[in-house]
Amino acid sequence: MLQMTKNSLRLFFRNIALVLAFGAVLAAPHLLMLPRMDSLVSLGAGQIASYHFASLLLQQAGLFFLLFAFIGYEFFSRSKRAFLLETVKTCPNGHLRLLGAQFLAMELLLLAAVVNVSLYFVFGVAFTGNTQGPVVANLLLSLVLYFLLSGTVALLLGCVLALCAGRMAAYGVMVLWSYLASDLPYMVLTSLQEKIGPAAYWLRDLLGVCFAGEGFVDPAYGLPVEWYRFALVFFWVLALGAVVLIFTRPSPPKNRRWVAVGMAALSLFCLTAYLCKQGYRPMDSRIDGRMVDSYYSYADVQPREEPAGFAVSACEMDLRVGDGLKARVVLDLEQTEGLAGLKFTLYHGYRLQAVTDGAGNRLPFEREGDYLYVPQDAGTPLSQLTFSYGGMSGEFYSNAQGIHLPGYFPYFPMEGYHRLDGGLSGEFAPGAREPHLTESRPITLRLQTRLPVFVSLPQQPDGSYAGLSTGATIFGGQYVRGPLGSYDAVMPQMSAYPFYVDGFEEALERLGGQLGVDLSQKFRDKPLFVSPQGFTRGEKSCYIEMEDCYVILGALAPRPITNVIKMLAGSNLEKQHVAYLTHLYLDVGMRDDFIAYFTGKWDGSIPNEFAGDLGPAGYKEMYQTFMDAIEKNGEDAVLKQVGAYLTDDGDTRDRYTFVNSLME
Amino acid sequence: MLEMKAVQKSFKKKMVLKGIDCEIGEGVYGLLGPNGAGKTTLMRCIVGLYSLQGGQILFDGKDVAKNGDLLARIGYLPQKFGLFKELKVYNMMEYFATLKNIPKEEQRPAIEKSLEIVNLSERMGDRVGALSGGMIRRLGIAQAVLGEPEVILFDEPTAGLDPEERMRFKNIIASIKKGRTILISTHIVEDVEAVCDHILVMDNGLIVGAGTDSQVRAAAQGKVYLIPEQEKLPAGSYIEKRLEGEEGVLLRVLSSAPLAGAREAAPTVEDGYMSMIKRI
Repeated sequence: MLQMTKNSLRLFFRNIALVLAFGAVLAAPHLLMLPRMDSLVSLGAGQIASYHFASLLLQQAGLFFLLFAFIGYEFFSRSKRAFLLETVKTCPNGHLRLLGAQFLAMELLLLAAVVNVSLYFVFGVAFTGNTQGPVVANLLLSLVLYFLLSGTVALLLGCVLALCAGRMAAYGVMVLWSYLASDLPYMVLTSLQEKIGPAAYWLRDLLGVCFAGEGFVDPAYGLPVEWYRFALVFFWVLALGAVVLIFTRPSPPKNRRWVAVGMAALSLFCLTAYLCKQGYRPMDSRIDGRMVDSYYSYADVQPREEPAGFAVSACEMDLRVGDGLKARVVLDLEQTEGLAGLKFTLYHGYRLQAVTDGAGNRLPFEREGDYLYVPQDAGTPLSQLTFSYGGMSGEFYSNAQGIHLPGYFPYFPMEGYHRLDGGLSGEFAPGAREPHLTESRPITLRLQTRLPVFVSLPQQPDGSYAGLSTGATIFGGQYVRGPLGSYDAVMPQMSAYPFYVDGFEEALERLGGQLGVDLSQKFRDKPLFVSPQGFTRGEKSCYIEMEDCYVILGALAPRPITNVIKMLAGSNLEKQHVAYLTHLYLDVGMRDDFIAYFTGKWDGSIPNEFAGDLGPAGYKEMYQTFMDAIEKNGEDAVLKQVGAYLTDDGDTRDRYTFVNSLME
Repeated sequence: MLEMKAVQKSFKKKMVLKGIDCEIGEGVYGLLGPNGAGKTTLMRCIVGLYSLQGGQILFDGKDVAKNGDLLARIGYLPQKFGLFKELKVYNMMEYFATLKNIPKEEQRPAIEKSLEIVNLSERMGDRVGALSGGMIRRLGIAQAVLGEPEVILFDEPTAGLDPEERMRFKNIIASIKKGRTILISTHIVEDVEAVCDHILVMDNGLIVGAGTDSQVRAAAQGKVYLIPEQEKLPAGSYIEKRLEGEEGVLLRVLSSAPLAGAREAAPTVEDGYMSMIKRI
């Protein structure tokens, strides 16, 4: 076999077309990376993550796949074109051994190509110093999955096409496969999904062995190497391998038939496992996938904001994070008398299997999007409900590779209806990244996962977590706990950028001085859970304060430090409007435009940051009054009044009344 | 000994082999038949490329379909034969030697011996692509005899070869036939006549005649006539050739009944072959 493999390699390198194709495979990563190296390296080791190089190269995995499919087809079809398969028929397992030796030769070339790609992976690790075990393992697995294994699938595909198809058909299949498995058809797929639902993506899901996704790379999650991607690859390897076994001999002997049947059965097992995956995290543009907000652009469900009318006195959660999330949540309820039904919000991505009462009786429920309604008999008010559900939800992921469940996100049933669409209707409203509950309750959390985890609640001697909160924040995966500046933080191990930027504390102190509010203990009194999913849109706070922690979206940066103002407003919607207005005025990026516009010195189109607010919602008058007050009474006096208004729980004035009072 | 017992092969609804019965022992056998008779199909059935719809093919009493290891004792040169043009002759033969499980240390002498038989020893270091068509066919013969198989099957080995190469082929067969069973399928009667000990005549999926060349000739005894062109021919007679000579234009005719105005001619193997397939 070694001799035949050597001769196969000789054969390969004596064919100009094949050598050129292989040269293209070797050159492609360098053509992509070398022009970018200067700009990447000049950022400095502290500014980029080791995965950054790898994620750029993953964009080429589809090209890698296509080229190896071509190489495989052209190389294996030479045996067919040379009528060699018939000639070696009388040799013991002649077909298989001939093709096997050639396949081995191709795998050696594939390995060389993978080593070529890995140079940049290695460089990334060495340059950034991110040599932690989980980080290196993640990079290695992605190299194996997206290049080595998918390249093997490509070679097998080429072999099958060489044995079974003519040239036109073969090239058609290869090109179509690579196109469908890439990010090229994403606009078509999104349009199709509007009409036919998630089925639009099924074909790409099945073909996409080399496609990591268009989605963002979360440095805490790392490159996507979930188990189900390996299951899919092995499905194709076994299925195509079975075809090769059958087609290398028109009437295969019994033992070979049995081996082929066994491989086909195993491949179906892998496919079934893939289709039944729970922890699916699509890394692409599908509507109900990558971004929580994109779902609401298409969903038919009307967003609702309705109070519960009852209270939750205690919450017990049993969460098992493996393939996906399996949850059993028990809520103790109060004040349910007289209610026709109980309203809850549970993110629509989770599949609710059952709702039972305190005696274990199954209860009917209605679910529409995020909204869950449990009817109750008037005569027997419910005092306890148990919810059993599972799944995963987009960027609020929970699977064997990572956990990102901030306590404000309804990964557990929250009493009342809460809109999670982030104000897409144009109304200033909270979204999926805001605390919705105001009353803390005792929470007991029992968590099963293989990942290292950080939970905002204190851990108990029996391993559970318990404490008072409106929701437990759970981060798992590539996180580490340690000092961030002078703060105690849980943050991603593999950072793309520093999570603490110089000048933050000074900016915080300055803001406190302007508002007349003591902010010195802000961020020191509770741990910080720093999420790599940065959001710095004007109306969204980067800093979300929970009872037991702060969730930081992005970095502790001097800008937009003014988002801290929104934390002072808490859940009071009227005060949130005032906080937002003050943020626009104080934020260094928007201040000049704001002042120029509202003092009549603006000569451009309305700045985007507050264009929407000046429309029919009617905030223009309020903003103008604010600016007029500053001109009349001075910035210092107005800001001090804002600080007092936001922090005084006894001050229940609405936004307009307050702003108008600034003119006095 | 190769035995075929009621061998049947069909492709979808078309029955190509309709029940072949014959025995092939030591010696050179020619499988003679027109295009479409089923010769290549029979060859492919023997080497196991096709499965049978009926009957058996036995090699030394064992069913070839159930004993795949028997095929290792068979050498095969298919009708459409090609090689990797980029490889050198020796490397190409190495491929075959490995596939035939010839031990590594024995490969070189075996390859040299095979190439010597076909007179290609001097071309061992040349690329296959540099060889002529005839040389490539000889290389095919070399791979067929590699490993000293007991049975060698040649499917249309002389098709497309010039007279010199055809002569060379016949000499090669003569040099390797001792102690072997060789089956050559062809539609060229002269090739069969020159080199084969036995002839199997095949037509329309059946063996319609078998024997030595004299026996095949005897099948046309009393049926071959030379008749002037202008003479009327009865129904059922078959014109083999048109000959121009001193006597004018004569037709060489096969007829089961005597022909008026014609003289009888001594039958050839070709006449015997034609009388079998035309059922005259």
